[in-house]
Amino acid sequence: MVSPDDSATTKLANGKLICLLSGLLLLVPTLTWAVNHSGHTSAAQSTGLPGDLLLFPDVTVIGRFDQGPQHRLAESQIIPAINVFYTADYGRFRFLGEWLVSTKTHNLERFQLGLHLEESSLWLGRFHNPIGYWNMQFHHGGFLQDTISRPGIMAFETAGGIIPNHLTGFLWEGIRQFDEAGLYYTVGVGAGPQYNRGLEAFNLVEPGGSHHPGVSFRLGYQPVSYGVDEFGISGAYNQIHSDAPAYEQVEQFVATAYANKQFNSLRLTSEVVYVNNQLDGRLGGKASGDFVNAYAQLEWAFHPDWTLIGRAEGTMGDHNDPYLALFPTYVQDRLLGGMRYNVTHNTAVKLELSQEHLRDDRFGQVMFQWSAVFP
Amino acid sequence: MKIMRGLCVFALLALLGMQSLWAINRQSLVLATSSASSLSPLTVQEARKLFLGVPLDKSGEHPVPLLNISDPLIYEVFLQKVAFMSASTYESQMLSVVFRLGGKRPESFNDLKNLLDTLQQNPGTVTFLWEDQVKASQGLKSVNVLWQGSVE
Repeated sequence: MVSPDDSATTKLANGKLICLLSGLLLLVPTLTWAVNHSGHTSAAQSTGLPGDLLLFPDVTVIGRFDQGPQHRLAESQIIPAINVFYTADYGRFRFLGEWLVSTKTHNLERFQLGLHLEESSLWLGRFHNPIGYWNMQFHHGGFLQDTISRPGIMAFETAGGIIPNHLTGFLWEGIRQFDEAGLYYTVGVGAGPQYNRGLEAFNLVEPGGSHHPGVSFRLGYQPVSYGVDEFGISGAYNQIHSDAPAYEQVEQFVATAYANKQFNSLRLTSEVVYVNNQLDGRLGGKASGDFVNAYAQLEWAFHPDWTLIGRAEGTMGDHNDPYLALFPTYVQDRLLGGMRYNVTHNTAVKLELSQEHLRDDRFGQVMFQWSAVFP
Repeated sequence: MKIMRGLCVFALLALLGMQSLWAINRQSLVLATSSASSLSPLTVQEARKLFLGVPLDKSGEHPVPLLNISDPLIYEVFLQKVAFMSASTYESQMLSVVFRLGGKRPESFNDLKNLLDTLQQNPGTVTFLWEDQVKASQGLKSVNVLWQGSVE
């Protein structure tokens, strides 16, 4: 229940957030203009900072139609957002931070302090969970991904996602070089999310709640190291404290296999995810379930600035799954078509049409997004 | 007999002409640094990593890459023979690598004089140039050859 005072405070906080966001969105074009007129482009020289500062602003417009009578999601939404990323090296040490502000959420997404160890790095802090390919590859940099939406299985915790996207603890990652090829490896151990009407990752700014440990790894073969093509596997084990009325804890195992391949102007991104959950009831009983999700996305860059995109997602074995019942907005199946146009080398517009299938609803969705990266 | 001799002379001249033409078009893309730098040679893989924004420790040295976009041809040869990707893929990969792993995107120079001045004044920096450009510039040296061949 929200009291009138709470409501007023929330409105005030939202107002301040929107003002801040508008200010940042206005600052961005000014900064870009200054950078493009400075003779040569340099993140460090344009900002006067020793590291690399990246600003990822975007504005997303969503329209939904043919929703069922229970109507869980808004029919239309406009969501401006800005993701501020900064990284810097100090000898063998590295800092990396990422802060996301939007009208829906604001969070310190990543805050990592790292130590270089030959070919690898050891990180301490809040980081992207290395589960799956999509989660680490794109995350909040909207401009970096060709689609607007993420696959349902990789949805963010704040957007009703079912797999922990963030861990807070230690991350070890590196690439072992074999001539041209590379073997990417990473292991993460740390505090995972808790469940409270959705997954809530550990919040560094407002720590609290009950966050149990999680561990995950990813191993990927890159035919050309640091290239686009990668084939690999990942796995995770999470203990999730639950505030749901029926369950007090969830034990979750996740295993994935992925393949990404570029054939000239075609690019395939695909992944299969197996999820097994054991739920401990408050009255001593147990429930369990498992399901498999798969997605495949094909992109065709038929012109240097135009890309046509298609994606199919599906979940099998999800019928009456007790864990999925806790996530009413999880997209179980989706058929998507879209287009991306690069307006300039650092700004893009995207359009997406999709048919979404939730647990007990099926509707159409249209999305439009302007996104950019500066400087 | 005279016709045969004439044909042989013509073929020889044509061959010599093609060879000299080939020699004219043959270029060497080198990794260049300041004469004051003590940087060891880098492999193509190491240069590729460096220009993707991945920090490199080479015998205690930490070379800083400067991206040479002053000439479309040299940039294209770098993309094809060192980075092994198109310009748009290189830009997005560089961004993606820095966004995921940290590091720093190389500074881009569209003015050759500015690039050479920066290179000369900062011994830790490296860039890719034609071998002829390095020989013609004072205060620069070639660390190693990244690619050699004829440019069409």
